[in-house]
Order: sequence, then C-alpha cells, then structure tokens
Amino acid sequence: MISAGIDIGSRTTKVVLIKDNSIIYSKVVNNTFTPIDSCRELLQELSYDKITATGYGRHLFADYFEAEVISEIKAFATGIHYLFPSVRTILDIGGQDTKAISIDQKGRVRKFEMNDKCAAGTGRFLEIMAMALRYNLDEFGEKALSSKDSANINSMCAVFAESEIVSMLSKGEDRNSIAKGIHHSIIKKSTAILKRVGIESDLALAGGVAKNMAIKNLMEESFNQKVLVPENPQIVGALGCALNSSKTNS
Amino acid sequence: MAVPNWKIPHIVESSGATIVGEEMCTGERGTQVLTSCNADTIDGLFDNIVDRYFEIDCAVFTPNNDRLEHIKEMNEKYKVDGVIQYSIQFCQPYQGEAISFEKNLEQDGIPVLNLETDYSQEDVGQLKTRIEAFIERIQN
Repeated sequence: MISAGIDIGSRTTKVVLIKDNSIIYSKVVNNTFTPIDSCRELLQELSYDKITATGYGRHLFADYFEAEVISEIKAFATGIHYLFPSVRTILDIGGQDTKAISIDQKGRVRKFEMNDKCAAGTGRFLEIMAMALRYNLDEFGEKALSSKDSANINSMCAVFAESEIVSMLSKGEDRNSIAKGIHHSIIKKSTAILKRVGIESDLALAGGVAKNMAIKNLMEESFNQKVLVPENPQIVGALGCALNSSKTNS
Repeated sequence: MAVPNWKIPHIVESSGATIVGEEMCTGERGTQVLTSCNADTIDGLFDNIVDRYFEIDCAVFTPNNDRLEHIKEMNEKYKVDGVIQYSIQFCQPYQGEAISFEKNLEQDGIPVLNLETDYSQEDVGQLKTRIEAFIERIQN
C-alpha cells in the first residue's frame, strides 16, 4: 500500500509518499495563488491509496480531495518520531509559524506552544532580513556564521528590524555581524517558546528554517546540546501525514 | 454568546469539540453572582451592591482562589476533557493568573490550552491550528 501526505504551508507545498514504512517519493514546490491547482498538478502523476493533509491549506484540500486532515503539530510530532525516536522536544520554524512541541516516547503530543499571530522570528522574517542585506537565503546562514561579532538587533517586527538594519549599515556596522545578530534574535524568540513546553533531550529542529545551518549551530551553542536536523527538514509535516495515512488504513 | 466575542467559541465548536461550561467576562461572570434585594434600608441595598462586586472572581482581585475552585467544580460537574484559557489581548491580570491555573489543572491531568487574541479575524487560521491540535492531544 502506498500512503501519501501533503503539507500545504504558508510558503511551500510538500508531498511525501511512503511504502512499507519507507519514503519512496518527496517533492517541495513554492506556493502559487491557486493552491488547489498546484495540488492537482503535484498529485496527478502520483498514485497512492490514501492521503492525509496538513498546513494552512488542509481544509481547502479536503474540500476537493478525499483526505484525512490533521494539524501541523500532530504531523510534525509523527514525522520527527519516525525519523528520530529519541527526540522529546521539537522546534519547527516554518514560513509563518514557530512551534515548540513536547512529545512522549510514543510520539504523542504532550504539550505545544506557537508564536502568536505575528510572524516575527519565522522563516518569512528571515527571508525579509536576507533581502534587506542583499543575501540569498542559501548563503545567509553561512555568512552569519563567518562573523565573530554579532550585532544586537532589538526589533522582532520584520518592518522595524528592516529599518534598524538600514540604520546600522549607515553607521558602518559589518554586514555579516548584522546577519549573525538576526539569527541570534530568532534563537532568542524560539527559546522563549521552547521554554514554555519545557526543553527535554533530545532536541530536533525542523521546518524550512532548519535548512539554515546558522540556526542549528547557534541553537546548539545556546542550549549546550546536540540538535538533530532531518536530511530534508521541510518535508517532516508531509511525512507525518503519510505515516498517519498508513496507520489509519491498517 | 455576546457579540462580538464569538470567534473562539465558533472555532472550538466547528473543530469538533463542544463547550460544556464557560466563565467568561462576556458570559457567565455577569450573572454568576447577583445583587440581593433583601434589605430594609437604602444603605443596606448599597451594601448588597458592594458585596456583589466583591464576590466576582475576576482576576483583578488577589488572592482569587474562588475562580480556580469554580473551574474545578465545572470540570467535575461537566466531565471536562480540556480547558481553554482564552484571554483578550492586554488583559494582564487574567494572563498572569493563567500561568498558575495551567500548572494546577495540568497537575490534575486536565489538558490546558492558552490563547490570547482580540476580536479581529486575521488570526483565525493560526487559532484553528492550535485548537485542532489541542483536540488531537485530548483524543490521543
């Protein structure tokens, strides 16, 4: 049996297919203005027996396709538990949300916390900051890590932080040091959310922002422990959905 | 439910849960304690009005053990599966109380979700994610 999972997030849509408990296919595409058409295109060549949806578009998806719907929190808990059974605390930083999830040894959600409606400290914030410093996303983390110094960024609001950066640059502050400061401010914001669920080892980082090595490295530095990052951190939610599809069928 | 304070109750009930009790300031709190009309003098009636105010278990009062007791009573009476502490933005007394209430209720094995929002509609997506995840947590 082939089980599918789809995670229609704020910035990208992810699909995962699993067979006999292993991943046989995965794909990440950028979102368009017509999410359902994108989903159709994404799924048309795939064959599967059952699909589960999560992400902001999960309910819309279920209106058009026969699908089960689960929350991103359950999806990430299930996905991470499959990849790293030892993990008890998950930090998922996506395009628009940051989630801290505490799970038990069976991968069930014990407690979770999310950022409030403001997308400060999420992937979108990082994108806007990279743009303000004229970095592309792939090099942003690397450049931040290359700096010894870290500028102190006070604003968490993307709009205010952008103005702050402009002022810093015109004061002669080093570009890479500002980049590091931005990464530090995301860690600070995420730590506050993580502390509310309690930080228990092992710790995993997932979501699109986990692709940024600076976030992982600075997190390890700040918590003084190893942070596990999946090979492809963006597909964890879709993977959790696929696992959910396989469970509900058996 | 008082208009416009229906956003959270609507999301909760359209996500598969049922609200069996509430103690919101736009809900039960207004009628939970009523002013007694039993007095022979105007001064006596004034005293009744004052007494009524002091019996309200709003978080601005401290200590405010009555409120937690009342929530626990409701939990038993209605066989509650979970508690949502829903506060309007900038209601600091309630948000302060929410921290100790959450610890207390979770210790009793009652899952708690804290939400802070206002009457606007732009965070409905985020709220729905949290409320659905909370319901999943209860069902597990």
